[in-house]
Amino acid sequence: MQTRILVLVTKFMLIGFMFVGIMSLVACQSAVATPPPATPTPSLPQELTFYAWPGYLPDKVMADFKAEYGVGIKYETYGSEDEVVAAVHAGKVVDVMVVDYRYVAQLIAEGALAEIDYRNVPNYKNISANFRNLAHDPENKYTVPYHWGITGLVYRSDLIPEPTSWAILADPKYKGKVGIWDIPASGIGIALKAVGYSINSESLTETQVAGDLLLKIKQNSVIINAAEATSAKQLASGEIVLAVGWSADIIEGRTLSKEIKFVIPQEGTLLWGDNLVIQANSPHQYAAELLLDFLMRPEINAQLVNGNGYATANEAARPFVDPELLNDPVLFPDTQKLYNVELLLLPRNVAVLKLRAEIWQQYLDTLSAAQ
Amino acid sequence: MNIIHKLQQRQSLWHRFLLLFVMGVFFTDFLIGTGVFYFIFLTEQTAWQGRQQEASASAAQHVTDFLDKFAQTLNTLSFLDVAYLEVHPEIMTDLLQQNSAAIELARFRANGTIIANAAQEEAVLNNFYTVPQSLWFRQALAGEFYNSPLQISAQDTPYIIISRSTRDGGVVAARLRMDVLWKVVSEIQFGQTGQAYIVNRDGLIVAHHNPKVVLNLTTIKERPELTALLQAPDNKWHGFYTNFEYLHVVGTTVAIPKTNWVIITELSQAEAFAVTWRAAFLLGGGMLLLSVAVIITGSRLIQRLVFLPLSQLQQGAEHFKQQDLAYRVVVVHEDEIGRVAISFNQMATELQQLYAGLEEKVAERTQQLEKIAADNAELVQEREATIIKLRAVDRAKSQFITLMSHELRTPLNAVLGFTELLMLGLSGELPAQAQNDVKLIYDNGQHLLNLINDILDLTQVESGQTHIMCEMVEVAPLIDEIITVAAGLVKIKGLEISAHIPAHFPPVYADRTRLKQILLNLLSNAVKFTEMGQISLKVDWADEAHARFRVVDTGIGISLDKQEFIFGKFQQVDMSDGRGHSGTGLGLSICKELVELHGGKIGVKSELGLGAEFYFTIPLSP
Repeated sequence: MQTRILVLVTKFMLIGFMFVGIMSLVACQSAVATPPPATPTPSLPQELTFYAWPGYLPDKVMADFKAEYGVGIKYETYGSEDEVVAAVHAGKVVDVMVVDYRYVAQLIAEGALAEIDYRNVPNYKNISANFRNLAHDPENKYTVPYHWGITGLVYRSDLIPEPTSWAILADPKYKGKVGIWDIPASGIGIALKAVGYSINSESLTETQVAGDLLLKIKQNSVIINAAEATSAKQLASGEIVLAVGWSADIIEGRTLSKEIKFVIPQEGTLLWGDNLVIQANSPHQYAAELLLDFLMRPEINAQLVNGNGYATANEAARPFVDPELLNDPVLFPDTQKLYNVELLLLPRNVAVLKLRAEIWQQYLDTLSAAQ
Repeated sequence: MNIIHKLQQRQSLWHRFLLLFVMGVFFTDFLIGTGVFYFIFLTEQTAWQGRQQEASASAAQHVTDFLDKFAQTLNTLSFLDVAYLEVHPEIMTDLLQQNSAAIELARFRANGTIIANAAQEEAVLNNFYTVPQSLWFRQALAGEFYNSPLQISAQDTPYIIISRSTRDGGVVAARLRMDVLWKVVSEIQFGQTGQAYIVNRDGLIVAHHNPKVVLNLTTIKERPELTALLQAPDNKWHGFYTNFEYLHVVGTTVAIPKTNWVIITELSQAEAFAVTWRAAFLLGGGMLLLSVAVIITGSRLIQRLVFLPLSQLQQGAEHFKQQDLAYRVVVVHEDEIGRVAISFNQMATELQQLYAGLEEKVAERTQQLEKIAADNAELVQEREATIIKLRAVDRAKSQFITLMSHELRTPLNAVLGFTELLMLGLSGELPAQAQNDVKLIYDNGQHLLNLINDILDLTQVESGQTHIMCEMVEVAPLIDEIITVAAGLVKIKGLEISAHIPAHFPPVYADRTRLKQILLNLLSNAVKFTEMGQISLKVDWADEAHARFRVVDTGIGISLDKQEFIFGKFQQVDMSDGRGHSGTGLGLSICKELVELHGGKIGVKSELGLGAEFYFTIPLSP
């Protein structure tokens, strides 16, 4: 009898202990972390398409990228910003594009740009605080600032005195010797600046006043051939004595003649800039982000500056930039001189945009008529 | 298993009891255990939750204080007169130093140009040329107190820009080091694994004790449980989930007012449940041991008090079964079972006595029965002797009658013969008177002969010497013959006679001669006892297997008391009336014997003065 009791009780005890044992195992489980789900790194494509102005990426940079990641870069070019927008609208699929600030707001609104996952672009931290979190793209969700520059006047210091105002463009003294580029935003912007208004004015009246000045300017001006990279040659030859210009003009101009100089008029200048963006339709977003990160590396970014002659928004690249360029006040102007600078965007007012287009068309027509 | 079989058949009370007892104990354990465990669980959770929320609230307060101090600095700056500021820019430096987290302070005009600034390290705000396009500038101008999203500088310094508008329509802005906030967060500790960190509404971690987490732009938005908490309206959320480091934690959140930040405090689930688990083990283990002790002690006690005495009782019963009535069950306690044992023993004593008494009675009865048997045996013997005697007598009688009938018939035939001679005048013509006398002699002689024949018949029939030869006999022709024979008798008395047979009546299984004899006998009786009217002979079915013959007359009838005797020997109904009806009185008894030989029955229906119906049945088939 007693053995039977013990047998039964032992059986129950065994069950009980087993139960307790299982529970403890379960308890241990909860302390152990679940391993993170294995997210595979997306595979890298053969090549990425880079759509920009010609010459924005030095060959060495592209070669280095391919050597490191095994991804080639197919470089496609456009001749004007309008072309970019048109191409996007037409459904052209690229991976990385270079887009001027003026067109960013529109493209964001159209959903043409992809949100950048900055976990893949840690080198973004090298971007100057100046270019971060600007109103047209809060938190830089879609754009990584790339190049920037200022617009000024290039002139023959031996032929004319140092200009102090944009109004000099309308000075009849230099009739026919003033060079203007066929870039409506800068032309109209300068005119607005010259009459004391914002270059991104949303006002029709203001725009009209600028338009009137522009017509006066046109009496003086010649359109610089867009095929030309810069106005340096024409200045050097004396064909023109004065032109709206950028850093590339002065860099080339300096090599041709010591007399070619650059100045920012007192009204203030236009700050242009472009951005690296990833197209929303790009099938290779991860690889594109890798490219962006690569281009933001200080030493790589410096190569772009050294190659293109345009300033970069990347602060950390400065130590790697040619000292000559670094010290160039045109390329890297003293910020005190940037008093009254305005970032060149575009008005959003549709009527104003229409007026601008009309004004510029008028301007071109008058010009060709004059010539 | 033997035990299970026993349980199923309910043969073992002990095992059933044991099973129920153990189950009961463990069930109680389970209930108590669950209750206590649950209570401890709740207590622990409430405690941790309380501590967590306290820690979070305190941290949120720190952060708020931190930001408020900042806001104050900015406020002061924004109210300063511009002219004064331009003359005394060192005020900015003083203000900056009041706040250790501030890296830079600056004040701007409405057009975005800087009025004055002070910076701890590299001055950035005064190098801004994109001020009018900056979000911090524009939001401040729009009248908001603006906190920029987290920025990381090239030197891996995390900062934000805080801005607000000034009285004169300008903007004050400051750059704030976020790693000061990290320090606040890393100082939040509770338990051993408790930690806190700050996220913004998009799930980006903006402050964490591990700088790398922030610099890597770690986000929690990929944890689905957490997106809910980020949008929780009342911002006081508590839950169990897996965090961004894939640890199982219990977390609480507190929103930091005037910012889009949320403080999350987390405790590893292992720690949160540590006490509960320990309690569970201890409790579980302790209760288990206790239960085992209870079961062992309890069952031994019951064994001794109940089951052992019961088995002793059973032993006692076994002895009785084997008729060992001298055995007595040992009684230890006079408790309930003890009393049963005592009764048991008493019963045994009674039984013993009873048995003793019974044996005596049995012996007596046996004697009596033996005597009766002996008597019976004697009687049987006597009976057998008597039967033999009777048989012998019967045989002797039959032999005698046969002999005597023969002896009697021989001379009688001679008498009848010679008398016939005389009647026929073969011995000479007799005078008329002599003829009448001779006729009388002849009739009497005939009567005597009939009597002798009948007696012989009857004897033969009675002694079983009569054999009937049965065959299928057509009834209708037989009836015709009989009617023909009886017609003569009937005419003399002036009676009518008729026969009634259904058409296509089946044949009967009988001895033809004897059947005729019976019917003639009955008919002659009917004629004899009927003075006027009619006699009918009817045939029909008694039942499916028997035919019924009926002789119905309208005679004098038979009284009920006489009906009993008429089938007996030497009986005539009216023996007393002296009219001298001819007949031997043997006819009906012979008929009875013959009918019964056929396997039928004979009977009478009559009332005095209303005629009589004699009926008998004959089988239709063998």
